[in-house]
Amino acid sequence: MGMVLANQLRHPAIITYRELSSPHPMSAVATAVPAGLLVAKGSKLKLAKKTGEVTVTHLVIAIDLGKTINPMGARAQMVGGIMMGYGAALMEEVLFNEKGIMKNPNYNQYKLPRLSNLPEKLTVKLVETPDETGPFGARCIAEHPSISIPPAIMNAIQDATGVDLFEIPVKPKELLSKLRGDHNGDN
Amino acid sequence: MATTKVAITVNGLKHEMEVDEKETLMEVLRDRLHLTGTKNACAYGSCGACTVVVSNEAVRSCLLKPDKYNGKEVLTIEGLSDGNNLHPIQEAFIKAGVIQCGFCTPGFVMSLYALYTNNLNASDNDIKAVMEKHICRCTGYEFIWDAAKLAQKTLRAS
Repeated sequence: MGMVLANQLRHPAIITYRELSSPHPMSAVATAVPAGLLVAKGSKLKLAKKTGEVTVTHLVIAIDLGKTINPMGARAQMVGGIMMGYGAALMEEVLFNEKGIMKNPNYNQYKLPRLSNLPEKLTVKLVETPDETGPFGARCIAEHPSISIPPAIMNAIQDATGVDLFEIPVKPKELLSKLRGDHNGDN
Repeated sequence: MATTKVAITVNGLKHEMEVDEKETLMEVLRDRLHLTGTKNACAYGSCGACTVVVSNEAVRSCLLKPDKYNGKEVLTIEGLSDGNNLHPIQEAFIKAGVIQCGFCTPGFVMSLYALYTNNLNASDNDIKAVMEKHICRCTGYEFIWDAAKLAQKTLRAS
């Protein structure tokens, strides 16, 4: 399974986008550096049954970055991505009123992750399958650590409660009403 | 516009100037004294990027009006190092690999400086309470936490 996925992902990176990522002959500026990348994530969490609040206790992330050039920088990028994904999954929401004016235009109202949201345990695995187009076989990590954190958290919620969620951020109130609705349905 | 005269000591240097009566300390530092290490992010007192130390207390410089900083001693990130020798907190931040975009870093450093100056034996919860008031978008806080602990250890040893 992993191999099939890897091949599917690697081909677009090498064939379709190769020209794009090469430096322009006149300006020597590379316009884009797309890269196929395999990321796997999992999460463990606690759910307060009364309030619907979700606390992520353990997040696991494995990423195939081709070649680790700066291990510390790589981990920093991963953990930073995790926290950004955490915010997207559980906290951050831009709200507008009926006139199209933003309702939460400051950090007191637009909640984003702070130190207390950092999961107790983070496991970061760096896998190295060289990318022949990258420097020393490396790929970019960039946003990849963040983009699949919401599904990882929401799958963990589904695993714990049976409630399948399709919208982020997962707000305690909405989760609670879904949980109660489910129980009513079961009864 | 109504103006008011203020005298402040910034990083050991005395400054006297006439400022707008609503001009915040952050604006004075950044726009008048060109000490741009103090960052302007939310200007709401919510993110901590503009934190400086006034009379040994960490304060949000974006919220401070002239009557609150007139006559005070201000320490900014620029005044923390001793010449080319960085302060142990700065060293710890580098060692722990905290710096990514670096925008939040001066705020974190100044808050921790104030905390450790007032109480070097601050508990983990004290440190957490201080760091909770700051926002960092890049690092995910993990390395900043490591740096805070490392700085405390180094400062205790010295």
